[in-house]
Amino acid sequence: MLKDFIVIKLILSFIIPYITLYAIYIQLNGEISPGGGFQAGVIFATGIIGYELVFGKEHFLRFISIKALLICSVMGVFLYAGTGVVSLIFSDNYLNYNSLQSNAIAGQHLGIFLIEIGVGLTVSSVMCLIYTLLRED
Amino acid sequence: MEEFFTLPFKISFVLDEMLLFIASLVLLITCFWLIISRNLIESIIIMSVFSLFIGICYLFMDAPDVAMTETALGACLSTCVLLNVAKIVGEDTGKLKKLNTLLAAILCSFFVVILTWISLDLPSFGTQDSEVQTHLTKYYLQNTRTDIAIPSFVAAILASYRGYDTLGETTVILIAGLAVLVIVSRKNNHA
Repeated sequence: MLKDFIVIKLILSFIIPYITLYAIYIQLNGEISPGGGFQAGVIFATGIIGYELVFGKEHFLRFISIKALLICSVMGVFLYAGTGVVSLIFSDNYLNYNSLQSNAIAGQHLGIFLIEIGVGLTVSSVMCLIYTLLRED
Repeated sequence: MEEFFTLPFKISFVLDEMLLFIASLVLLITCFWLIISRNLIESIIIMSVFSLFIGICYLFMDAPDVAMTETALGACLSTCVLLNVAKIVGEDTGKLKKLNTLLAAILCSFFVVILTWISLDLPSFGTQDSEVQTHLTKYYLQNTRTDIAIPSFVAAILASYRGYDTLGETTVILIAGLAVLVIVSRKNNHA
C-alpha cells in the first residue's frame, strides 16, 4: 500500500492543495488565459486521485460516494443544457447567451462562465468515477 | 490584430525548433521501446513518458491548452487507471488468450497507410494561407472582439461559437463514465 511510504505521503500531501488551487485558477480564468473547464476538471481530478492514492479507498469514500460523483457528473451536463434552455425561454436561439443579461457582452461572459463550470464539474467527477470504479478492492 | 500572432514569451525560433526536434526524437525512441517491451507495467510507464513528451511538443507548438490536457490526462490520470487495471489483470500476461497477431498486424499497417495518406493532404504546420486559416479563423479573429469581448479566443470559439460541439463532448464524457459504471456493476452482480 502506498500509504506506508512516509516520503510519498508527505510530498503528495504537500502538493495536493497546490494542484487543487491551480485547477480552480484555470477554471475561473478560462476567459483570459489558456485552459478552461475541461483542463480544470482534469487537473482537479488529478488532485483527488493523488489523495486517494495516499490515503486509500476507504478514507476517500468516507468523504464522497460513487452516487455523489454520479450526481455531480449529471449536474454538470444539466447546468450546460440548462443555460441553453434559459436562452430559449428569453426567445433566443439555443445556447445563444446574448439574452442572459441586458447587455449582450455581459450575457456572453455569464454564459461562458456557467458552461465552463458545467464542463469542469462533469469532467472532474467522471474521471474520479472511472478511477474509483476500476480500483481493486 | 497583430498582437495575437506574436507571443511575448517566445524564447527564440532556433532554440524552439531544436527543443522540438529533441522532444520528437525522444518520442520516436519511446515508441520503439513500447513496441519491444514485454512487461505490462513497463509498457504503461513508457506510455506515460510518451504523453509527457508529446505534451512538451504541444507546448513548443504554441498549444498550451492541449499540452495541459495531454499532460494531466495522458501522463497522470490514464496511467493511474491503467495501473489499477494491470493490478486486476495481473502482471503475468502469458495466461491471457492470444489474439490473432497476423490479422492485427495487417489491420494496423492498413491504418498506418491510410493515416499517412490523409496527412499528405494536410497543410504544413503554421501555414497562413491554408483553407482553414483564410475563411473560418478570419471570421473568428475579426468578430470575437465585438461579439464576445474576451481575450482567450479559444474559449470564445469553444464555448460560444461552437457551443453545440462542446455540449456534445460533455455528454460523451458523461456517457463514458456511465458505461464504465454499468460494466463494473454487472461484473460485481454476477460474481
